[in-house]
Amino acid sequence: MRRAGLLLLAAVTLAVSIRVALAVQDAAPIAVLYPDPQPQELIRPILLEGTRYVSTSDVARIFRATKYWRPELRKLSLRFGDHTIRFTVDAPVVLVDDTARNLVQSPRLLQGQVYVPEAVLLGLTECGLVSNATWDDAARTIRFRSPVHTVRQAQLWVRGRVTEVSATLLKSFSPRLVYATPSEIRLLFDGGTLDSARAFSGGAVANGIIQETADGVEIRLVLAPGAQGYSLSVGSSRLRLAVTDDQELVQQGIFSKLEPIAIGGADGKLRTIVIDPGHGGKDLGAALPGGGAEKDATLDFARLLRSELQEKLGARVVLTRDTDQNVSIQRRAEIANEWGADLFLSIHFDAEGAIRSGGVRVYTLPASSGPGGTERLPLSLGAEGGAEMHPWESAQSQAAGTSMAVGQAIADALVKSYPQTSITFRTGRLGVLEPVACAAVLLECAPAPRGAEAMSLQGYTVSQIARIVAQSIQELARGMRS
Amino acid sequence: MNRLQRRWAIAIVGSGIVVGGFFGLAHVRTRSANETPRLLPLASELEGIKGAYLYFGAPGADSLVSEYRDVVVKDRPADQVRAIYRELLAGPSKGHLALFPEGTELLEAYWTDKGTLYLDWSKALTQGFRGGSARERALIASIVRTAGENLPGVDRVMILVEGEPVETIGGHFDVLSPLSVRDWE
Repeated sequence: MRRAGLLLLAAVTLAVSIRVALAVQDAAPIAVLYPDPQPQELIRPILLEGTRYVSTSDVARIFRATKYWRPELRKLSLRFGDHTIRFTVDAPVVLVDDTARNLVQSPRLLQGQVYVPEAVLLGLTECGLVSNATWDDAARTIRFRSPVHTVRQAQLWVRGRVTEVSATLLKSFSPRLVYATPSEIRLLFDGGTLDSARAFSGGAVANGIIQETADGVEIRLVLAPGAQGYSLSVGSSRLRLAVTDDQELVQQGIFSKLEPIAIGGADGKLRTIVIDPGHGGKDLGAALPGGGAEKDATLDFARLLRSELQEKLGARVVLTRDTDQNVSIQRRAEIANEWGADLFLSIHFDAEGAIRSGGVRVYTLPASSGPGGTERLPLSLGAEGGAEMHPWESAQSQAAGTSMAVGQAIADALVKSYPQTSITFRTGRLGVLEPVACAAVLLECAPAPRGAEAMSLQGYTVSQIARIVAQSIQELARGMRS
Repeated sequence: MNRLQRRWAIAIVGSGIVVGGFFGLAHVRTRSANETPRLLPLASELEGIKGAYLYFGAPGADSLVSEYRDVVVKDRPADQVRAIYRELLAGPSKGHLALFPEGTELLEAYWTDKGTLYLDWSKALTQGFRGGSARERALIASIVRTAGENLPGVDRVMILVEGEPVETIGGHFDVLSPLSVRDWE
């Protein structure tokens, strides 16, 4: 009898050890390799009854699929763009779109999570559900391909007195010349993507950069003194942007003349500048450190800037509000248009994000601006070259290039004075700028940094910022006259 | 066979039944699973769980970060939208920044076949907003990108407050017309 007892014990031990062996274990991780600069990551499959399973949450997250799980039906769908794959727990069949395919092992449900055999990763690429990645079974690695970029292999060439930037274009792609002034050229490929950002200098280009921005691929060339002309040619697969300091090439018509930006009247004189202190009245704006409200800081700054501009340029300066009152965004733009402003500056304050320790954001509308991506054509009145009527909501699109040149000049002047402070130039769909018919820029300052921050960041005062902004506008006006 | 021997015999037989049943049932279960390849159609008006990417603010930066989360949703598209935005309104879980003003609610969601998603928010969205351009930009981008990422077919988002279009949320960005997902990526 005792022998029988021992046999039973052995049987139970064997059963338990078999079950333990069959239980869930961690399997070796799978590496997921993304194109630079995204770092690689590891996902951790499980080992169940000798088979490696991956979590469908990991599959959905890695391949950006939409996962949909029906617990009562034990069904899980993964949607990859236009394709869908449907699993059923414990059923060794999947539906890929509407076609049934067999699975060697069934999907399993463990602790509320659906796991599918690792072999599914190969199936995803073989069935064409995932086109931007491959599964390497031997190395157990998911490798995402680099996206195919529309602008590639940008280079700078210096040939005598001509400096040329060239790039390969994947398709016929028309860039937009945002502005071309004696000091700077800016070109934008709307919605384009770039293989890798490059900075270069040489010849007539003091500092050049080609980079991907929120609006597309941008080529910005800061020119060396003496640049005279530029030439832009776009073939079916090649871009060539050349700059020269040889005036003869311009006179011969081979190169176009680099013209200063025009923000004033025909004589290049700035007559009316409208300054818009943001928010006001019930609209307090952002809460600033120390308990201040943005609406008060903007009005103080606008008054400082008005004094500086009146003193330096002798221009008429109009404020959209000179008291603590709420003015609608539309009315602010109307004031600028009613006065026939040459320049519109909207003032804001903030102390969050990248400028939490001080700094300035300079905004303009993108050069490709048109509300909601739509562009409406101006309406011509009279066949004899009468007035053109522009849609109210896209009036700024006519001056967007000039606005970007002004915004960049202001940002550059601030960077020069405060190189350690966060000063950024960016574009955005800013409501107050869209209906303004002249050059228009929005400045968002952080209150002056205090204490240790001021010491480490080469602290500024708000009045210093106002002075630098006024100086940079004065220099633009001088450039126009010269 | 004495009483002790009988007890041992019962124990052995009982254990044998338990162990045998254990493996037998597992075998039957595997077989039955293997023998039911037929799939049932998806039922409607039932709850499911959807994996969703939700966008929140990155602390100390002007950018967004995404969190992947399981969201309980229903079949109707409008219910899916509400469930996803309810989760977005609930806030981040990893030290990221919540962007919505306190008390903001999604009142309604409409989805046109032309790819425009209408989101009708409570007044707290505009009345409770206190932030600069970076926060407003991040809030709009969070709303638009969450739709673009999780709702296939949506390419524009229209923000309404209590059923009416508004010119802006915080005084900087224009939200009077539909916002293109591509512009806010």
